[in-house]
Parts: sequence; structure tokens; C-alpha cells
Amino acid sequence: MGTTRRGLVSQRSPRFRVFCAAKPEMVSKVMGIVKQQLALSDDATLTPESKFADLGADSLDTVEIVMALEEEFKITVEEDNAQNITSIQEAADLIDKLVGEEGKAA
Amino acid sequence: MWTDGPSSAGERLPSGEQRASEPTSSHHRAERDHLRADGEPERGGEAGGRGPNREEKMAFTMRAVKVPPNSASMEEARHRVFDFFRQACRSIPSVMEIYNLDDVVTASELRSAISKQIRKNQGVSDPKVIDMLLFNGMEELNNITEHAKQRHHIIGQYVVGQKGLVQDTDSKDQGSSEFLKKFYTSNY
Repeated sequence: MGTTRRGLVSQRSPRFRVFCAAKPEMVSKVMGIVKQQLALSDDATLTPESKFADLGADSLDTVEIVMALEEEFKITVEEDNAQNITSIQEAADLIDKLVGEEGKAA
Repeated sequence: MWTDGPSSAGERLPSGEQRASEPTSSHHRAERDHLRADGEPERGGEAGGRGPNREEKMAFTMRAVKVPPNSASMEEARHRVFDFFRQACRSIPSVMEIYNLDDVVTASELRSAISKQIRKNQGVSDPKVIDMLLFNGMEELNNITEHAKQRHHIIGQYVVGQKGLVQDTDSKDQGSSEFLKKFYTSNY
């Protein structure tokens, strides 16, 4: 399903390719988990590009966020994938990809 | 089960954790095994002294506790800590089922209990010490997952705050009044 979606998008303007990589509600879910994990206040500004390190997370926090996302979306993130996650957008993209793969496998 | 992690000089985190509940005997065992520096399966540590009818558990323990003798560097130690943390987090659902913790605590609370324990040993800089702490942590994790512990152990060690009051796990401003809080800490 993920590939067809991307196939459709590429016929439109290339600008949209970025947005279709992760759905907005998924990004906001990820943001909620990050906020809860790092104990940020509700009015803290979180953009999809904000990096975990900028938000005050150390490396253990990052791993913990990835585990929380694993639990929330019922996916299993491989270790090498997990090393590359440094921002919210990357996390949402990876989740999207994994959920798409599981949808195909199931 | 929550252990420790290596800390790294310039970067953030990983910390090792020496669980206060570890008995000294396992500590010595860990030292001994660590110094042996061989990769044989008998390194299962606490598996050594058990009787023959515990062979299945021995196998389980040995399988899970296999740790290479030395971390070459802080980086590798950090990796080990994260691997351990991931393994612990992935075992949380089964732990909650074994001990019927669904009413008492959520998975994310257990996760933060684990990371809190790991952070306690943040300042450790020697990879060997970190390995030892990790070994202790793996042992604890195995004990918990193979149901060698009981529910009150888990609740007392990981769910409830250090002072033994459930209110302690939340922010300290909740609950009783100022007078009572001071009263609980001392007579004055």
C-alpha cells in the first residue's frame, strides 16, 4: 500500500512527496509521546523537524522514545534503524514504513 | 532487571546501574565470571550452583546472560546498555502478564523505572565496571522474566518509590500537607 501511495504522489507536484511520507496524525501522535517522555509542557513548540537532542533528550531518552513508539504502534524497530532516528519526522517516517510493511505482510 | 548502562565521556548517557537489591554473592559471581573472560556457555553465572532438575531454567538463564567478556570501548559499552534496555523494554508486556501488574502500573511507568535505574550509574566511565553492572542487570532481568521473583518484589522495587509510599512516584507536591511531609521525614 505504501508503494502505490508514493507512486501516485510522484505524478503530482514533488512538493507533496515529503508530506505523504508520514501522515499528520501519526506525527502528532509521535509528538505526544515525545512530550510525555521528556516531560515537556503542553505549550512547548514541537515541529516535526525538531531533534530530540534539542529538546533536552539524552541518548537513553532517545532509545526510550523509540521503545515507547514500538509499543504504541506495535512495531519492532531494528537496531540499525533506531540509530538513525534523531528527529520527530524521521521517527514518523520510520513508523510509517514499518506499519506499511506489516500491513503488507499481514 | 533494570540495569545499568555505560556512561560516555562527551555524549549523553547511558549509565550503569547497580541495583541496590543485588545480593553480594551474585556480585562476586559477576566479578569472577567477568575475569574469566571466556565465551563458554557455562558463563551463565548463577547457573553454576543449581541442581540437575533446574536444567531448563539453567538453559534459559545461560542463553539470556551471554555477554562477551569485555567491552572494547565506551562506545561498545553504550551499545550494550541500549541493547539491554531494549531487551528489558520488550519483555515488559510479558512481565506485566506474569505478575498481574495491569492494575498497578502501566508499561510506560515500568519503562521509566528501568531508565531511572540506568541513569543512577550515569557517571561510570570504566567499561569493565559497566560490563559488570550490565551483567547484574541481565541477571535481574532473567530472574524477573523466568518468574523467579514474586509480585511483591516487583512492586516494591520498581513500582513504588524509594520511600515506600506510592505517592512518591509522582511529583512530591501531591498528597499530604507540608506539615505531614516534614513529619514523615523527621521529627522536627
